Amino acid sequence: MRAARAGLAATGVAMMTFAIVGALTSPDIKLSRHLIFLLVSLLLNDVVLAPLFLGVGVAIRRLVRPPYRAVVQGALIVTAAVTYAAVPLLLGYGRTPDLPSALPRNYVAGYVLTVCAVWAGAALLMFGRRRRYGRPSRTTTVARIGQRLRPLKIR
Amino acid sequence: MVRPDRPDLDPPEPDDTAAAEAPLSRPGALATLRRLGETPLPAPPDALRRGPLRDGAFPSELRSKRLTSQLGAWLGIAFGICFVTGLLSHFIQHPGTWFWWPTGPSWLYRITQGTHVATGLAIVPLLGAKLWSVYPQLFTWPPAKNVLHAIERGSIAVLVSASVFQITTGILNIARWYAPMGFFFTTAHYYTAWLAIGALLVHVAVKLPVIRTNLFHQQRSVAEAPFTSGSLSRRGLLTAVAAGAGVITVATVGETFAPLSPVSVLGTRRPGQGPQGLPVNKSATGAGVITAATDPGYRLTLIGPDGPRKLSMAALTALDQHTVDLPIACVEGWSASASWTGVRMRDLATLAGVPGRAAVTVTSLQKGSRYGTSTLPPDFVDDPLTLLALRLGEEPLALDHGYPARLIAPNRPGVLQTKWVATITVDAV
Repeated sequence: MRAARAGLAATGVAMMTFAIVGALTSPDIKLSRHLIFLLVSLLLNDVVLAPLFLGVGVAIRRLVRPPYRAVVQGALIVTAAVTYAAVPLLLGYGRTPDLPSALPRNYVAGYVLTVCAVWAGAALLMFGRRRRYGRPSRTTTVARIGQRLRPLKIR
Repeated sequence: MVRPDRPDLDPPEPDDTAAAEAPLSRPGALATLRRLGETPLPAPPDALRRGPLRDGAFPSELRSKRLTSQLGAWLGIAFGICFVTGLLSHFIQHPGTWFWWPTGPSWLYRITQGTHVATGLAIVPLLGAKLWSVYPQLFTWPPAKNVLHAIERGSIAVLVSASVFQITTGILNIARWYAPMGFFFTTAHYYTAWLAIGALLVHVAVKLPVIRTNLFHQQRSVAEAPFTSGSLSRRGLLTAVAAGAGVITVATVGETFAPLSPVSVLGTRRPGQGPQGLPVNKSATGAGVITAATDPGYRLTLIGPDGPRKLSMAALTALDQHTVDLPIACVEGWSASASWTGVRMRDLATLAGVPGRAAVTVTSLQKGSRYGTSTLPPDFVDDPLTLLALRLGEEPLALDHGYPARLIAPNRPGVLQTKWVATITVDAV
């Protein structure tokens, strides 16, 4: 395995070197803009998106009861992925009047439809879980919410 | 990465960082390098260890090495597909002397490039889940144990950054939104691909023992996270990621796979929509060729060993006409089939005075564009499907499709199917 690892690492370093030398010597590369975009890509995940998802995760844990919670988490993962892929289409800055056949659809409607389909699927799953597991016990959940929001009287 | 509080989830195994530093057992310079790499770095004061840097700051029971390894394996395959198909597309456009690409099957490029874009889009949930699963690693304490550890963490930063870069620029490019990039997408995407895959190989080399243990040698009973928490299980997460990839694929793949077009509500093209029922990527207005292309005095310049000759539209139409069904397959991942009629390139090469093997360079009326010229290797010149097309369907080419004449050849990206052809240069090979 040591040989395999050494081979992988050496190939990887060679490829990265090729990338860096190529980028430094290519007249097509705008180095400053390229580096900024790389840095923004890193920060976008580490500083913006990851904390956002963690925050949503904490909120779901507090607000959504099992056995629905897993379905809501799954549906949110799908929604987030579709959203990331769709944002430039939703903003629509790529459209130009001379090219009506490029980006020809109503992407806001398409996005809403897609997300609705995802959550309709999630609702079906939740309905199935309700039948399988029965109505989730309110007492434990109410008790837990009660602990967190003591001043708030539920029922 | 080992979670001491949950030994049931992660059975003991060799610490991956220690494994990364496994002795290479080489004398001399390498040993010195190794010693240098293992020099401990001073740990920052513990008072700085706050917030996410605290032990147990990320309580999710869902994270496990097995989950990370599985997501990583899928991601590795997807990255591999994107890299190979991307390289193919690059070399078809910038062939080295060693590169050979067949003229058929005529639909091959639309498959490879459709796969490139579809896989890149499907990576979004996979990459998101993978980065989430290792996010606590960002807050490892101490930040760097030694020089080697610092280098390894740096390579992870490169990997994350280049991966997000590739996916994001790809999404921006197919949505034709170039402003946020501020650089030439194609070249940037190409070199960053090498950077990403290089960093990925280094990452796999470092983590190989962990990957092996968790992917192939783990007992299932130990691996499964208990479902008692009522949150998403490992399988549930993998299912959600697969569902995300599936939804994105169905919502976009109709741009190249016409039967799914009605449900691909996020597709960047509709295969049947555009002038003469075919989408366009560069308009005559955008290319600035309207005056030259509609000039009644238009003549095609055919340059061969016997010198240049000018062919009017009437002369071109008088040559043998052939009809072929070929797709326009865009680098942006969409494609659409059409029926083209025109003169075989082989016949034009012969007319130019090269009856044998010939390479042909086609130049557009469009000035100042890096896609204004394309070269046909001899195999493509000889292929009976390669035409200088004058008609699309039953009509003369629409202006946006390259009137008065365009190149159409099998198994090539759309950017090489030069429109508004001004000059054809034939060289004997």
